[in-house]
Amino acid sequence: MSQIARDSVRDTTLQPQPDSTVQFTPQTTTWTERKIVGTILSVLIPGSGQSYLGHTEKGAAFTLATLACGLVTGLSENNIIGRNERIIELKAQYQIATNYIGADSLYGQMVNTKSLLDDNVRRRDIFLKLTVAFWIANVVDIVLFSDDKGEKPFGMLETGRKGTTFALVPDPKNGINAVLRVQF
Amino acid sequence: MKKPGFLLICLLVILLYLLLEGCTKPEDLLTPTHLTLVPNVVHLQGTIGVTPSGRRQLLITWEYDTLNTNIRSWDITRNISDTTSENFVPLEIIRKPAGGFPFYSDTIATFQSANMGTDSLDVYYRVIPNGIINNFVGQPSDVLHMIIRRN
Repeated sequence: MSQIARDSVRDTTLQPQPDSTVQFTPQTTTWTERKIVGTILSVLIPGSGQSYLGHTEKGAAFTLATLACGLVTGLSENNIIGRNERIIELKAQYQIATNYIGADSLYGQMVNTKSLLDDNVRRRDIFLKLTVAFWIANVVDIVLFSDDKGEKPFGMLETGRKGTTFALVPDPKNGINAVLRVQF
Repeated sequence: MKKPGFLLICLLVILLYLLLEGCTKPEDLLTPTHLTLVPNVVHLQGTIGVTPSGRRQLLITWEYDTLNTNIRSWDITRNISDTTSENFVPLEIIRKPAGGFPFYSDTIATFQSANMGTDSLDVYYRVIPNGIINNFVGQPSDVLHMIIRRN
């Protein structure tokens, strides 16, 4: 055996083994079961599919952005409903007003409420479009740009530290395995 | 392969439809009818004169849109030496005249030179139109300011 071959064998034997019981290979375009599950998750909750496939930071960003825009949209929509009710009430009072001063005051309140209502409508429309945009971007991302990084066991198996570790590892045959490892 | 894509497109269409159609439509403002329901008082003016009997007379005249028939009468209110709008005192109800424009003649003793405690007196008038439909009280006129000087 030549010197180079011996070095190669030694390097191989000395290489630290990954502290995980699951081996994975990144997959790009094929529709594996995990990719389909991730896509469905992302459609239902933006960003969750990315997190499921291993892109946790990107997934969190999508989730936060979409939820924040959706929240503002919801609040604006709620304000619109309330101001619509206020305008309907003011209209009813205006119809039965018996003097100019009262009617003018009611009309002034109506105009103010309408102005606020229009602001709410504009805000809602902007954030609704942003929400849809983030949602579509999230779907496009999960379909085209998010590779499967493979399953990561839940726990401390990949910390690389010696000592006691515990992990829950999915097993296709047995469901989930609880793994307790003590290294000396 | 095709199933997830088809489901995705269906979900996308349904979500977009719900988002766009589920949004509340904003209420529109109604056309303001109170501005022209009762004809407004225009060209409110006053002249200081003397009656044939020698008493000082303030003659208040005004005009209105005669094409608007929703007018029954006008309330004349007066305020002497006080600009506070709440202190206008109702004087008389002037019925809509059969022809021409309405007027009001004021000849109270306070305006006579013999009764004036000061050199001049500030008098303010305001006219309020009353409609026929729903007894709607129209827009009060601008305040007419007149100064009476002692002879």
